[in-house]
Amino acid sequence: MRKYKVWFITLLLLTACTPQKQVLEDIELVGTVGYDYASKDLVEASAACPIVTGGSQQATLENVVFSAKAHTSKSIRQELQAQSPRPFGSGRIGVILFEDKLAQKGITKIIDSLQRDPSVGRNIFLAVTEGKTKDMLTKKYVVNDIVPVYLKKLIEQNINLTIPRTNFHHFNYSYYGNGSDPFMPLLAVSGKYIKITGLALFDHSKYVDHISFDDSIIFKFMYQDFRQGSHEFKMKNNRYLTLENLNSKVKYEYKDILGSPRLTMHIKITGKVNDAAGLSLYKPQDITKIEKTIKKELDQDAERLVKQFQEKQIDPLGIGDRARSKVRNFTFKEWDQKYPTMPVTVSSEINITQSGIVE
Amino acid sequence: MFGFSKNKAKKKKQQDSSAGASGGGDITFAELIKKCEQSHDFVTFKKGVDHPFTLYYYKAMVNPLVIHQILLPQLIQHTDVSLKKLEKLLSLESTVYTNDVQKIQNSILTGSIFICSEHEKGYGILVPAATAEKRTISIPETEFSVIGPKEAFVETIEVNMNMIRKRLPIPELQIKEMRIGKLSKTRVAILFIDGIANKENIETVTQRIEKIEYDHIIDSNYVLQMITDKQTSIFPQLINTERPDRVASVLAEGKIAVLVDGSPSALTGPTTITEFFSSFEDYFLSWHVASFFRLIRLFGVLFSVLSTPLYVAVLTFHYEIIPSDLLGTLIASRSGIPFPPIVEAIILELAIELLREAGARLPSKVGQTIGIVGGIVIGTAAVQAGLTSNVLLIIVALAALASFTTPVYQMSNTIRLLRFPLIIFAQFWGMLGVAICSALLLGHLLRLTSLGRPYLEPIFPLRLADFRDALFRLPFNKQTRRPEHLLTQDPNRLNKQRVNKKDDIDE
Repeated sequence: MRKYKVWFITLLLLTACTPQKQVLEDIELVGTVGYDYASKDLVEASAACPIVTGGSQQATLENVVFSAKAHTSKSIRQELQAQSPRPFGSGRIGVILFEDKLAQKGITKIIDSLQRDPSVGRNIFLAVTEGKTKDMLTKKYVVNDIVPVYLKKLIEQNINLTIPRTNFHHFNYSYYGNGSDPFMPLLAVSGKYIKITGLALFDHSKYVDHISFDDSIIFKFMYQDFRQGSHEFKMKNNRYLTLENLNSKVKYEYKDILGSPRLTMHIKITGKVNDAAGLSLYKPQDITKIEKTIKKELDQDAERLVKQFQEKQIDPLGIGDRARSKVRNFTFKEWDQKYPTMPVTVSSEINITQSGIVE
Repeated sequence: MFGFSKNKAKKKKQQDSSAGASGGGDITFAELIKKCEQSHDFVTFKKGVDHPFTLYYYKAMVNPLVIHQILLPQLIQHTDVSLKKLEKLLSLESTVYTNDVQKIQNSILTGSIFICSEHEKGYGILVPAATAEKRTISIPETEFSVIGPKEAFVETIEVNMNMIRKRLPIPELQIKEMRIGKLSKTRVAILFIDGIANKENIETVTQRIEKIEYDHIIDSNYVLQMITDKQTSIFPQLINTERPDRVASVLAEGKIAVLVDGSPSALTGPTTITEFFSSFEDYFLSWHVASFFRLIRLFGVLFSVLSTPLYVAVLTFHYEIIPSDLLGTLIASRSGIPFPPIVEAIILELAIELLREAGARLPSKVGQTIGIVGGIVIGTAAVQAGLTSNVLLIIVALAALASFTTPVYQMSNTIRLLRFPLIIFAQFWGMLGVAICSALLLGHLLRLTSLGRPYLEPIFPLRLADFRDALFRLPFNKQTRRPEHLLTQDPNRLNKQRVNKKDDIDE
């Protein structure tokens, strides 16, 4: 009986020890946040919130954008709060956008405050926009979805195809980790659509360079193993051929002989010819020829990209991180000196297994 | 010291009074008759003033045919015989010649006729002539099955025993009978198969039933609650069934059954939690189908217990985990509602419980109407009036439906009740609360026993062999051994080699 009394009293004392309630319809759910450069150390933030209208029978989502300027990310929140009927909830942020101008100045402060917030997810997308994010968020597009949903689905489905995997977690890994630099998809408004125009490459927290959308799949071949996606290769006589990737694998062969490092990337692609534009695909010799041409072009493109990274002294592929795991007594001080001049060769192996139902 | 003795004296007095109520004690025959005659249905009958024999009986308890066709013809013919002689003349079995007042009293009260002679003071013959109105055997209603036997127990213990013995015609099927209840003196029978059932289990049941202290035992559910291992638990720890086929089947497994006179259901035990989710119809269907239905029921239980608490938890704390495509619908359906999710959920849950209770209490024809009125009219009206969200309405209705899939009535009641503490925990601590409450529940289940045997078996303690007839049911040729948790004297149900041997037609 005494045991129960103790329990009862403990429960009575604990009645106030409950977490803060956040009832679904009583919070302003933020779908997308965009950060713009306002002036020197002043940031403008825009929060795009999906709002439900039309009652329970035909519920439709509408996009409402709140925006405010402030010095720190948290005070922006206060400023935004001053306009909203409900408290903001950051638990459903799907995409975070940075204006290119702001990204070039560095995004350390914003990233720091975002990654401290436990309600911000880690499988959300970060992206750099060409032009103001506020304009991108407030513009009307022809697609059926509201902007936050549109942006999220856009990046999500392109990650399956052309652009390398990227989200807040991967960003944090390459941002805080040594031997790698982060990258994000680069977005731009194009007419009545939002378009992915390539990859924005960062030098730690500053946006320094970008590669085109076409190059991002070459980057992806070097960056990760994946299925799906396709790329157009130029053949002889100005003919073009589209190779659909069925399975691609990449292996890094890193050697550090007497202090002079050397890297060979082995890319193995099993693919299917989608669009051959009049090329002959009947004989096995033809296929071998095509494979050779593709290999040559892919090697060149890949090496060109790596060269570009080395010149800018950035490492979005995370070569440094991979090298660290292979070499004893590895120091990043030494690595930083050697990286820009390190010889990197790409050796790909193309295997065309299907060429459609021609025969 | 003085206080103690006083207390003792008081106790003695209490005992005396209780003895008085049950009508025992050392009284003479004359006193007994005097006491009985105060009741108007007690008959003292003498055929003519100078006839030597007198009959004493309760009119309501005896079969008049025995008096009319057997006793009276003999009594009229033989006016001058001794009681011993008369006993031989009567064409009835198990008559008793006695002068034991206590015995006379008990027999009269249970439907015997006492014949006295003027010549032999104090002695008499007890003629059993009890009559009991029997209900005809009807189809099982709470444990209905589409296929299989359609017999259910009735209120008469003899009929019930007959239905079981008919299915197990072996001398090893033994019945221990006793009477419990100070006033009701209810006949309680313990059934088991000697040589299969664990002796310790039989002892446990016998001991617990013998120890029952209560004035009246009306139904087997009284006994269930009195002999259960942990009376504070919300979970039933013995199965209460109205199907004689089920009882026969579990007796063959090595379990023990208890029948109570006047109750149309038997208790079986020791049992495990998985047995509460197996319907007896599972054995009539092919094992694939039966296993599928068992898993469906298990899912039904989890859904029924967890769905509303999770709704409350997610809407109150975890808006992050709602799927994006559902978000619009959920917000829209919640937006006009004046209550927080917890109040909304409790209102709807109570409404469903009200409907169920009303449906159960009303006569069946009106009950159906209640179902329709409640389900359709109140449900849609509540949504249109903006009192509840239609998403929750669907969840609550499905949860109620899922709780009805549990085949054992007691368990389905338990499941309906379980969600309320979970809802409250969900309101205070969200999903963490649901997890805490589930952990408490699981802890409680782990400690439960049924007649001293673990309740969660075969899940804990893990006995893989017993899974063959737990969450799913394997075919009959795989059920070669009896459940391990019953610790039967003969663990083999059948010969494994013989059952799995395939005889070719050519041979």
